[in-house]
Amino acid sequence: MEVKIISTGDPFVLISIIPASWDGSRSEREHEAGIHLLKVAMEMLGILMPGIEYDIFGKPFFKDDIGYYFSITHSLEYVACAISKQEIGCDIEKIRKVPSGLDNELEKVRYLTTVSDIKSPLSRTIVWTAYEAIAKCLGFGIPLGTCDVQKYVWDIKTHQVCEDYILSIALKNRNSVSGSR
Amino acid sequence: MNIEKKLAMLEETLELEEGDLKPEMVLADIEEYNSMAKLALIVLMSDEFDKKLTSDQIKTFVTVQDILDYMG
Repeated sequence: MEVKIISTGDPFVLISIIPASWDGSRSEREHEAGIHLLKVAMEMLGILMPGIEYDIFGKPFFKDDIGYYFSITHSLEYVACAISKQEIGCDIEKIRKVPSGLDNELEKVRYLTTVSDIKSPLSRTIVWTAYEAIAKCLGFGIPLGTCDVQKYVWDIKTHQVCEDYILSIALKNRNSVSGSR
Repeated sequence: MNIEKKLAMLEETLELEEGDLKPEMVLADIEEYNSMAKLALIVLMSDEFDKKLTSDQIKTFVTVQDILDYMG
């Protein structure tokens, strides 16, 4: 599996193409690729990877508290993994038309991104990936509650990883205080 | 509302072409049935059917027919 570094430092972000030749269903290949990428990232960081457990919402986390958080995302042929010392969520999506019915949901997080409007497929995909990244970081699932978003200070990082894919990373500031925004 | 109308609404929500969906189709096999589609489904149920669909309820949907049944 060929790996590309998207971001060094914190967050440390890797991306790869999911090998089509791997055995198993699509979801099994996505899962395997995600775990493999996480292992590669941890090796690159020189951190011994602990076991992984899942919370009641299905969000994976390191079994032992090693001071790092991670998030894995996949979309069609791509898988990405992000690691940080802050709570983190990431989402990768192919640039596409985001249904207009989701405008109210997108507006909940648009102010956190660099996007000034949600007119084009690119801007809508950027905001959508930010939305998903925040949802994954919080671990509550969707839809996001406005209060849940505003309760924390977020750092959203967006990367166009190739011509038609957007990756967003949401970092929840560890010093976030309820009602701080 | 008849089944054809419900399927058409679902196809529009999932950004699919008319006639792409069949009631017996397994949702996990539909590439477009991703998290974006699930949120659009929540909005659709709220706006068009006045139903508050939750993430937990969505997890119980296995086939397209399950969604059609939920629409009522």
